[in-house]
Amino acid sequence: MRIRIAVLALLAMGSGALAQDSGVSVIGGTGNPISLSRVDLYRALGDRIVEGRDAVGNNKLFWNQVNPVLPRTPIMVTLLDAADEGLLVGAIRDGCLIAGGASRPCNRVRLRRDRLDFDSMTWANATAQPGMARFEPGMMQPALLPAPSPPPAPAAVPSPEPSMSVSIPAYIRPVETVAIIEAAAPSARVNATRLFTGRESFPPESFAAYGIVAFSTLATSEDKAKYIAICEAFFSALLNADDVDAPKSAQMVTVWPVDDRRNPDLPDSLNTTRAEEDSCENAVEFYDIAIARGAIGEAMSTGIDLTGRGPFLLAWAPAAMKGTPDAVVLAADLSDVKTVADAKDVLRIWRDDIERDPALWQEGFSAEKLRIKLRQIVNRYGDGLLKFLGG
Amino acid sequence: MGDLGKLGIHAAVGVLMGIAAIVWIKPDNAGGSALLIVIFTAIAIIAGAILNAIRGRGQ
Repeated sequence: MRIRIAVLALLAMGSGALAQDSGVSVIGGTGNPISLSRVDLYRALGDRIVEGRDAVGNNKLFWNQVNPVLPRTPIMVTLLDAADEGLLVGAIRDGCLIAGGASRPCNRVRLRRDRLDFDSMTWANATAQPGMARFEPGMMQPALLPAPSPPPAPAAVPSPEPSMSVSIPAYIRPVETVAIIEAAAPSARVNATRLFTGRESFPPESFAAYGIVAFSTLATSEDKAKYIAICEAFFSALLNADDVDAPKSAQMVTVWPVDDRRNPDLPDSLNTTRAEEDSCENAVEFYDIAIARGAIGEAMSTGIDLTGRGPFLLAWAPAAMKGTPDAVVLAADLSDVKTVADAKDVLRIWRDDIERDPALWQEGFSAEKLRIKLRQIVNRYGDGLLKFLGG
Repeated sequence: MGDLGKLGIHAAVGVLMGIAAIVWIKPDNAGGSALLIVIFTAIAIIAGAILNAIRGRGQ
């Protein structure tokens, strides 16, 4: 609350500097350069979007998804000097804090490197086209210029002091110092993560527990959109296992099985990229149905009813208990999922369930689950009612 | 007229319950909202009729 008040007070000063301070300018639809605010920069180039103390993957593809005034062209920023990467990370993390994110998850936000172009010659030789963007450190507002930060590394447990000195603006540092120290206390909770795995590396080892997105059939032309919606929500709602600042032993990984026999590099490429246009196309096309059917069979052997059309989210804890009749299984039915929003709702609950004590998994009722289920039902049958009434 | 008046009250209660359900469930489409209003109105009218019948027997 104190952070928000500080930010609001700063905004109320009406300097206008905050809105134009990131150092990144984008060529607008009419050829005019538009300076990005740090918040917009974070929404475009941050690898995750922080919501309170939680985060979901950033899958924005076009500039206009960041800000409607920007052109509908793919997000890509030219970095004229690779040494400026630290400054760019600092500006992104500032944007995260200004947008209301908690300090600890904001300090873990990294660059979407797939949205960076390090070839400055491209910029120098090209004529200005809408959507072209570049980072110029000299354009950053001096008052808010953070100290250069080193490129982010996947540290096991970040110490609070370096994070503070790197990217937290001076105007909120005193408050954040307290928050960071409080947040840095070690936590015993399980982190829900995601992983695309090939047949050879299945099941994934050394995780605390693991789950699977289990389709009972391969996609057809008729239902492919549903598969892709679930894949995009999978990218969005869960963080990549390598991006989480926790050891594997503290992660509950949900796996999307990929048949990599003809395309051995596919799992790695899916794990290292964000949700791009063809990522989910590939993930769906090369989905490993054999692994999924095995998982469904093993879950049913514990007495769980999986008679719906599916797909299902299934998890075992501990992972070694998979296949035994008395294993604790967490299951979610995605039969009624149609859109990315539906899938995100289910995966959000899935993540929350996982991050609770696994001992409570079997007591799986909550008002939120009931609400989501009811929403799926009324969405599904409401359209039919309108058509029946002639709407 | 008296019975019709009671029906109207029950229907109004059902519509209010439907609106409350819309606020809680937040359907994504207008059809979903209409479905909730229809269901809750029907439930309220049926429940009201049953209650009236029980009261009628008691008197």
